[in-house]
Amino acid sequence: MKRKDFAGFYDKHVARIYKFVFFRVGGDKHKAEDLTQDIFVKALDAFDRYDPSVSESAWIYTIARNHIINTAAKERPQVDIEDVGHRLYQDWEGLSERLYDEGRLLEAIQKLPKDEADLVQMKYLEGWKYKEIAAITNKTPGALRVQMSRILKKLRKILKQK
Amino acid sequence: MNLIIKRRLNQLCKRAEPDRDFTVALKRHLIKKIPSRWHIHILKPVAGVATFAIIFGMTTGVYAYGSNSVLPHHLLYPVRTNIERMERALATDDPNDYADVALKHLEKRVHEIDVMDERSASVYEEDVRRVTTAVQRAMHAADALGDPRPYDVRIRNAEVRSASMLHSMASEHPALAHAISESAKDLGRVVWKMETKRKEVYENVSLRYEAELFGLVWSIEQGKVVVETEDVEQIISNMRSENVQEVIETTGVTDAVTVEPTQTETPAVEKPASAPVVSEPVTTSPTPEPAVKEPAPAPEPEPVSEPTVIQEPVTEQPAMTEEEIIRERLRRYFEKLRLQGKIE
Repeated sequence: MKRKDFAGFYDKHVARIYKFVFFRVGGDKHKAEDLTQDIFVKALDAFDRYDPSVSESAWIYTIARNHIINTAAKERPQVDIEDVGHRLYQDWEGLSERLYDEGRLLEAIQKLPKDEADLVQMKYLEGWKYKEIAAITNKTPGALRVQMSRILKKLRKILKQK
Repeated sequence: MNLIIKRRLNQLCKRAEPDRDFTVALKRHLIKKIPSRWHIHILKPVAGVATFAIIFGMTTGVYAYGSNSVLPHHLLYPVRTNIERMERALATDDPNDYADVALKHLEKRVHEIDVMDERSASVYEEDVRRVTTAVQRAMHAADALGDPRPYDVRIRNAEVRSASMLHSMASEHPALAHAISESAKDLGRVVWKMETKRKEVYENVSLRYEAELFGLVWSIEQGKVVVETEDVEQIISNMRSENVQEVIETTGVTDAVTVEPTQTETPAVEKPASAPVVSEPVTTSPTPEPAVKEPAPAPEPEPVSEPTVIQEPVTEQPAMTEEEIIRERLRRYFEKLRLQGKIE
């Protein structure tokens, strides 16, 4: 294994995986950092066995998801995005109306079906590309775009109701 | 409305960005776990440069060696001469291979002069010397072989061609006239020495063949065939007529020595029967001895009252058989070789 190869892989995915973990551990920064470190250590150990036919995003996503599931099973149930929204909102409590709107947005996302909420989270909160999400969900990027358009309409409707 | 939602989602995304200190520290921690292969980073470019140099060198060498464009004073001509030097060095173990290589290089030198003449290229003294050296080298290489005759013809042809071309070029390059003349002299001396030595070799080969044919024990001393002289007479004496005839036919001894039986009328005076004409056996002594002993002269006839008629003394000899004639021829043949210093 070459240092250069893994360094490039790390730079490409570290922010995304951190966010993935961050939104699943209730916005706990320190916990997110610990889990992100664990995930990339596992990735480093398995890097020589990586199959190039599988996309890198899908590969590291699978490692991250499995690690979070295993960790959560040991400690406590997976934190819902609502908790994240609360955490974020509480951290910036007293700030401007914009932050309040963002809190409401997170709550609205929580009201969506799980697969739609995951899609919104991966695309907009974690920064995944449609192509990468397609590799994980076995859907085409086009289908995901169409679905996302519908999700955003739903969110709009939810936000208008409140 | 969608844009507003998207914008807010993006803002949320940015708030969840990891700390830069954290990502840098984690990266450093992970990279340290990977073993460093610094030597590959150094050797890889070196290997790449070396590979390129080898390929480039091989391609250049092939072109320099085989192209008609690469003539003396061309930029790549030294590459050709170096390759040829290496060829000769690799062939030194086998005299036959070395002779082949030397001959090939000679023909190349002749070809180069030919092309230079066609293109009216400038010829210098070193070019003349180069050809002369190639001829000498080829001659010496062929001379080291047991039988250089297959190479002699090719060497001679190449030398004649090159001499002819150089002489014709001398008229266009007056400054070369002296160099060509000197080279011709040098070559002449070398050729004379070679041919003299070859002649001795060929004669020795011929003599060895004949000695073996006669069943003689022979050896080479100081470059000459030496036979045991006591054996010669014995063998000749022991030869049966048909064997002698075969030897005559094979060696052509009859051409070398002619022996005719002499029959003369003897006077009334008796005289002792003369011994058959024999030649002394060939000896190993360095001083030559007479080949044939003349029979004792007959006594002079007594004068008569009649007008004196001086008659030549005559010797009555018994008629020689054909076999004896042939044996005599053989003896005289060997005596001739001994007098010539070809055998001792």
